[in-house]
Amino acid sequence: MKKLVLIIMLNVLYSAPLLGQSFYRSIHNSKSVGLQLSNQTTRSIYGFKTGLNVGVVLKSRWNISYMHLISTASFEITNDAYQGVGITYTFNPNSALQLQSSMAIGIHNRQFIAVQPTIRMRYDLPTNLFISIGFGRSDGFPFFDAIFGIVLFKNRVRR
Amino acid sequence: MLVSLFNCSELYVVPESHYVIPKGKHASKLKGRFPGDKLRTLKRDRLEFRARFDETARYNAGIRNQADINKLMGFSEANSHHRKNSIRFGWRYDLLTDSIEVFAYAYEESKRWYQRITKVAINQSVKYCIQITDQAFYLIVDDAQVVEFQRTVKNKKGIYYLLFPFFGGNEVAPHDINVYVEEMFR
Repeated sequence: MKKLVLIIMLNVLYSAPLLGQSFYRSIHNSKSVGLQLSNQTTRSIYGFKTGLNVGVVLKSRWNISYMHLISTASFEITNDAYQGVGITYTFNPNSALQLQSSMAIGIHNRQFIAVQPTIRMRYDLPTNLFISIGFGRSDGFPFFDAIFGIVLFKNRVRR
Repeated sequence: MLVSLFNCSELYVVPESHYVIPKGKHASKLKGRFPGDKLRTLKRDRLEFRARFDETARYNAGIRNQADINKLMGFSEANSHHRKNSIRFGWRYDLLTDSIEVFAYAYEESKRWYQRITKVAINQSVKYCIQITDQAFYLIVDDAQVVEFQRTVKNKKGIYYLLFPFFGGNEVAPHDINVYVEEMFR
């Protein structure tokens, strides 16, 4: 038993510097700032809306974005526009498939302010493209959105 | 593929929502839905729904309180508390005619205002609409009866939180009261 404990302790001590080194690298790789340009489409009980989403990525975990969406022509609602600001937090920024939590506050039809929380999955594609699918609840019904975009630049700080 | 995933029109079939005002309470509960489904704000320039009252809407509150107006549905106005600025449909049971009287019920700068609109039968499904313009609210019952209420708030941008069935007045529900509401989103 004492031998087993000693072996485990030696293993932990031996691997700790390696873990520390990986942690050190991941901290500094995550210090990046980026600009994202994308198309966002939402689906709610009111129908589809689509439009532009422009976002700034801060330190890989935080994203602040502005969105301007309009209702698609297939529904009766006319001049149905939405402008909003969203804040997104990424739980695992170093993965290709990321889990995100998002909160958007915006104004419908230049008068009605509303808040929309969303849970997202984002996948980074090659050549700086990405796709993100979100799910929430709005007016007692499911709310979906999809974002397809490109990271225009991403400034990495390497040490 | 994404469009087909989103389309899922079965997800957006609007059911008839069942609100229950429990005995001894004022506020209603929404049965069979997720918690938080009553935390809603208005997103367009009208609130439109069909509503019906069943036999539980019959009550006798006595001479003092039978004339009190209960609330059906509506919303607060532009970041105001609903007791400061709001607009709703109101209702009360008329013992003499065994029917539901429908009212326009509003708060304007904390002053209460109401006006009788029409009468509906028990179990009758009726269409209600509150249409918003820059200057006024129009309360429309069954596309026929219209009451206009002038808006006085200066800044009309804001949160318009929704208000749901409510009993009272100062009296609480004498028994469980059911209100069935089917909202119209398009």
